Amino acid sequence: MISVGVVGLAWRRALAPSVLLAFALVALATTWIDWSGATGLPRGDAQVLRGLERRGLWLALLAMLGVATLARAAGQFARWRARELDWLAALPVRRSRWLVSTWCGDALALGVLVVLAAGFVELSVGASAPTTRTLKRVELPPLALVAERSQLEWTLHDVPSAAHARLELALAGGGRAAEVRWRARRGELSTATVGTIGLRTTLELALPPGDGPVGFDLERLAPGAIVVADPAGLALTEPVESDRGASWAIAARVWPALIAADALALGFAAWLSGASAGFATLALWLGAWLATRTEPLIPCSDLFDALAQVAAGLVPRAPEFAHWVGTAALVVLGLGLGSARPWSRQP
Amino acid sequence: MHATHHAPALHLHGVRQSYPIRMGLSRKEILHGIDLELARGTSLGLVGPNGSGKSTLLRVIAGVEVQRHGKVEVLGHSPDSAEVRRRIGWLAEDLPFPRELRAVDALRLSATLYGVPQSELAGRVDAYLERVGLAHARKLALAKFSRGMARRFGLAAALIHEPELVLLDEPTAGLDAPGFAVLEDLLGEAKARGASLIVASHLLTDIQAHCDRLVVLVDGQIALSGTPRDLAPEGGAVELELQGLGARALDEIEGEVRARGGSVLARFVSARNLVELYRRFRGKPGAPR
Repeated sequence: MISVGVVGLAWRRALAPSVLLAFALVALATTWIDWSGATGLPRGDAQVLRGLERRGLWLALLAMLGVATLARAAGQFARWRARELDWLAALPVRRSRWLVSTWCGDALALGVLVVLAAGFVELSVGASAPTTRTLKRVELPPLALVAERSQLEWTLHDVPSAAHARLELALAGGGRAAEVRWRARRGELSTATVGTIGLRTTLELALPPGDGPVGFDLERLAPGAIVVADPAGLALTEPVESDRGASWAIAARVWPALIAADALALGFAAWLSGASAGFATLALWLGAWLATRTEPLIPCSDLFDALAQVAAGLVPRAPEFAHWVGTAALVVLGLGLGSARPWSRQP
Repeated sequence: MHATHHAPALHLHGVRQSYPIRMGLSRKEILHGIDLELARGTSLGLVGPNGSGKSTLLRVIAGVEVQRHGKVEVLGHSPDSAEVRRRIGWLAEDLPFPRELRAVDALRLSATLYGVPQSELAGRVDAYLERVGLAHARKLALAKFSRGMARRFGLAAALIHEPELVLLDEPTAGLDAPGFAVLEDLLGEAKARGASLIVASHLLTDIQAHCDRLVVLVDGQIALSGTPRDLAPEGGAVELELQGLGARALDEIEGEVRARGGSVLARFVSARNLVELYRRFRGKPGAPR
């Protein structure tokens, strides 16, 4: 099904000197930017500063990789038709075999570029430090408000033994700050943390060890502002030795998204002009992302959520299995579209 | 494939081809119902002015163009079949190979895709590059090839898998005298192993020596068809290449032609002399390649 020669040709084209030069230039340019610039963070919050730098570097490199991948894949059919049609269309090779082989070469090359990007980001960030890695995000009710004489309570099942929990809280009005206590109970054991909530604050709590469900309650300790819990702001985490995993977690989201975009753009380009194919791919992803935000079937749908965690000095969780299923479906769709169209434009 | 072993190399019936024009609102017909048959092991010259439809016809036969009307059978099957395409050798007008590849890599890739066995690949690639006089340029990217070198490379790519049907579009374009010699040798070999040939050119002199039959294509229609001798018009100009005679003998022949009411329109040294000279010179120490 795959031609090694065609894979090699695609690999070579995807890692053309112009692509590597653009990558190097963008990487060089990112080293001149202070990514933690106007954040007003207190000095000494090294973990968050590293996180902000990681996010900034990744955003710059992602923009370059995304544009380069889309432009190259969307222009591929036009280049084939303009320069190599008489060879390709006469070959005793099915279009599907050619396209799958080309995509494999692209995917390998994109893997190399993403690994290079992760390596460059980690080199730029420098030393690592212990942090926590997200294990699972938990949905809370949409209007989880904590006001005077009210307490927010909920229970989670399947919580790992040594897990921590993070909760993002914000003020919903009625004052400038509020003091809250967040408590977790597991059987007879309980842990708690107390925090003063500003405009937006994250509380972290080591959960009681053991098995069984964990009950949470959140209450305001004194009169003050109304506090609201972010509906997507509760996460179970675990301590990790190094924050370098953040880049690999981003890479594990970006690579499937790039290879899916590559396949889709190839497929669209068989039927549309290069520019239209590029815009169609981008529009499809943007549309799906805006409509669902964190739908696990859409590759990279939680990219900005993951980048926000990276900026906070955390390590995002690994992509879900559904992420890979969605990627595979988009690749099949793209390559199927491309294979259905004859090389020659004349019907 | 065995059932059609005795099928003709090519059978065309009522082949018409057109392209969309005016944003697809109408179509321009390039081929107007071509009927043609080519027996196995024979050679056909396709002659016609620019725009007569020669290249389009070859592209339809090679399966490059999506055929719209009529019947096309190549080696007893549709040219869409991968098995048939593997048995066709196709030299296109341009150099449609990945230009960033070195000659040796591009030829290896093309040969692999045409099913040349892996065990024979390296030897055959080297042999064909040598045959077409590109051994010295094997590590040069195709993008840096001159027109003549590109033609030689195209010949190697068209013939390396030893096809049963060879389609050559303007094979002499850009070739120098040694290139002509290479072309002659390769076509001779292909015919010797029983391959069928179709050679298209706008110049009759370029191809008639290689062809058992000529077809003259004008405005997408077959205007004339027959052997090269059949197509020589009574009383028209003919070219006669002679060798082994001195200037005096040639003067006498010219006189005899005039005495019979004809005239000698031109008398010049044949290009074959140059080809022979190159052939003899090639391989000597210090000789250019």
